[in-house]
Amino acid sequence: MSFLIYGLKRLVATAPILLLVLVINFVLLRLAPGSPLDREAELPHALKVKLEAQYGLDQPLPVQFWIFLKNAAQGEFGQSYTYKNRSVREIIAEAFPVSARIGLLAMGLAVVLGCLVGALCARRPGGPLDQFLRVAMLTGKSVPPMVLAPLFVAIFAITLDLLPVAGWHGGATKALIGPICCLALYDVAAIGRLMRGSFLEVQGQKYITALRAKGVGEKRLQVRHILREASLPLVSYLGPALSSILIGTVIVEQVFNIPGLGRYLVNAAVNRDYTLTMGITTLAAVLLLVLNVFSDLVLAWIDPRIRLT
Amino acid sequence: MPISSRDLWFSLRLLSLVMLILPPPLRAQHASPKALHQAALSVFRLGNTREIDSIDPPFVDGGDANLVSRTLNEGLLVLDPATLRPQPGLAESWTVSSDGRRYAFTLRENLRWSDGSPLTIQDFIDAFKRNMHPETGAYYAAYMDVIEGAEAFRASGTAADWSKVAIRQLSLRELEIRLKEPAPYFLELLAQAIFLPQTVRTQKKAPGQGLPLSSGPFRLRSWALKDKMILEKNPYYHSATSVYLDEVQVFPIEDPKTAWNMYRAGELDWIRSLPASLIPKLRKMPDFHSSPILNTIYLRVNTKDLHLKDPRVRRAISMAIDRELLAEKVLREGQKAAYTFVAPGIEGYSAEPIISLDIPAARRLLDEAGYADRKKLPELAMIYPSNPMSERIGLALSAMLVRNLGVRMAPRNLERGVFYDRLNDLRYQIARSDWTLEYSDPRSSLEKFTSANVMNNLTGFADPTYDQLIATSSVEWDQEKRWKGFRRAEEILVGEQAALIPLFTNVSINLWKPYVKGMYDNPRLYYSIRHVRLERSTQASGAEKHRRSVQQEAKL
Repeated sequence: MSFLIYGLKRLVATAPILLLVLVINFVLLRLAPGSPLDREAELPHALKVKLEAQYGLDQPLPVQFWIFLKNAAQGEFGQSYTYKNRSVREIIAEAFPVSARIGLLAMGLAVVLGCLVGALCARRPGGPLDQFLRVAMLTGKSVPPMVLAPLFVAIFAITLDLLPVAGWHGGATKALIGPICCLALYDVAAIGRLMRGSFLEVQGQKYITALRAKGVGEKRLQVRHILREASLPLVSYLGPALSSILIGTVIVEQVFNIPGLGRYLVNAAVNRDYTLTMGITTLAAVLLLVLNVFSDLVLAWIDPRIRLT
Repeated sequence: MPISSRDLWFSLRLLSLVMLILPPPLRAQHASPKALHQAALSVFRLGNTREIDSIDPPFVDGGDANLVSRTLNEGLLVLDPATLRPQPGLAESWTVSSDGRRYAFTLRENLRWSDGSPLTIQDFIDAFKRNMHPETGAYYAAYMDVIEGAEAFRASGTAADWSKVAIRQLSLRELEIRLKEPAPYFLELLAQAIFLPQTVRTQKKAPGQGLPLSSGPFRLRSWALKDKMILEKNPYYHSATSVYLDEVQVFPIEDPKTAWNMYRAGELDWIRSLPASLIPKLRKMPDFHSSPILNTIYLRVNTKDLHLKDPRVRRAISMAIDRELLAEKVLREGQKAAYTFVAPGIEGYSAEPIISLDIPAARRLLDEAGYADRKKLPELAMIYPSNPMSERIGLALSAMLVRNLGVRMAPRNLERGVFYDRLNDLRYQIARSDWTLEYSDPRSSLEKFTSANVMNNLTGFADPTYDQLIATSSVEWDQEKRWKGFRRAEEILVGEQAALIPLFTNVSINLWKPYVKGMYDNPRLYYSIRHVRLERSTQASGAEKHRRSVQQEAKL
């Protein structure tokens, strides 16, 4: 029960932050030069006035923001300026599950592999395996997706012909492998490095020595005590990392031609599609805040010494 | 070590979470009857360059959208993809009066929408009314101004004005359209999306209202934004038996490298863009198709700018540009140097150069304009919307101007929205622009720069002689006189006044597989998927397999 109350309290406390983020997004978008109605041939004045009225762009900015807030509270962001006859809600409902599925699978893979690599490194710090994995992790963290993704396509899709080059294919496993691997690599390396340090720190704790002395089995010691304690920094890392990966990344989505939210966000911002940009950024902000609160709750659940106040 | 119930519970929860997000297992490798059926079908896979904003006729914009719109819908007329001459579409025949102002169309018998419901003349009239109505905000509604009474109705939208628009139903299958002035290109215009028939059911208003109907060779089966659009053969199309393909899949691919990778892996049959760096290499492939198109890349010059208001300065800049060097050495994609604004290719219209490279004369002009001391002319700025080709153009031009004229010009890359904003407010000096002829008549290009056309002009250029020439030539029915008038106007615009500086005409870049037959490359990018057929051996074997499996199933 205390978890629930604490969680609710924290969520309520994030409301002002969310509001601030939305205000900043809204103002920045309106300050950017150009408007969603700009085309090479300027629209006739009467039509522009009519369209501005239709989208509420003729209202003062605070009024526009208030209308946006009222609608956003009900999950409505209006019609997209770019994609005629499609509502922002409809677009998000189509694209978010795509990004989220790839993001979750990539993060799941990264957590499993990252923990494994971290644990392997921590077994014999400074040993040959540790040295090798550390170099590999540094490389993995330094290769950006814009290099990795085309390389992946060239090797696995074109040379070896094992996977499709691109496309969503209704979410078939084969179509997911490439984007997941390319997205996961960075986080595998990041989590591996994080876990290595964390394992090393926990292994050196006196209570671990005490538990060993008491005759606790090595397997139980590793899983119940060391992994549990060592995963605390991982949980803090996962909150923000998950929220950004769930929204999708434009490069991987473009190379693999995946209909995820990342591509929409970039196109919408460039085209000054106010409604679509606000819709996606609002979702991103909410996800970030909720996942942060959630990761705090998980921290407290793992380590009872963390007080919920 | 005994496993505690807590561990078990945790593992179960973890497992269920993983199961939830994991995709369905890989299908068994044997081909299902459905897959065999698919193989027997003639499926054409096309890589478009971007996602389409809309297929609703008044909002169809750009090459990708027009291609899909044309595949789904048909108007009174279509253009022959090989010759670009008007051919019967939903109208089987038409007559034109001797003064070129009255057009009468006879529709084919028994026309149907893609759900089988009758397609009538009223659907055309309703569509024209909707597209002209100011509330609709159709992108290319100005094309309809050539129809008598259309301009007034476009401004007011009142019923009284609609009654004066000269579009009449003569009989069950006959439609009459009267023009306010003779327009030799009117038949070509009718092939544009803005003249397509519509019903309320062709407009998707809200989610869940079903897919829009179509009037052409294919109909929409599904459309997942940024993923794939599937068009299937329309059984109610008047010439359905002459459509070879069963299905067209359209993939919006923004990254040309991805398109190329998908193409070479055999996942696409036709792609419409390529990474610029690969073009010289791929040119030798039999799949490579490129031809000059009626698209001119040019520089708009702000004639109100303090330093550029003198036509001599603008002419000097135009004459100092080595267009051959730009096209052949810098761009190297097959572009042709342009010395006129109207792209060459209009039958009978002169393509003789209006302006050409003449460095000594350019220097003299600049001296005469009071810039003998070049330091008096501050660095000019050339703006362009972000894209790699424009960047190369900008850098090459600034090098040419410094070398040939001693004038400094800095290319500035702007985001699309910012670029148009600057253009519309005349807050620029020189801007990279492009224009595609929409019908085979110089009017399509030259009308943009009359002083009354504030929405398109965007250079501040205003010349009464030019306006007069455009006005008189536009209503001239005699082609020789018409072309002469337009040519004189173009000489003022590009030569004497140099309000714009043509650079080069573009080329189309396509790759289609050798087994794709019936595709025609043409200068208007008017591709017709209706005529495409696939002649590959695997297609036949797929069909054969399907037939065998169907026979086996029948035996069982």
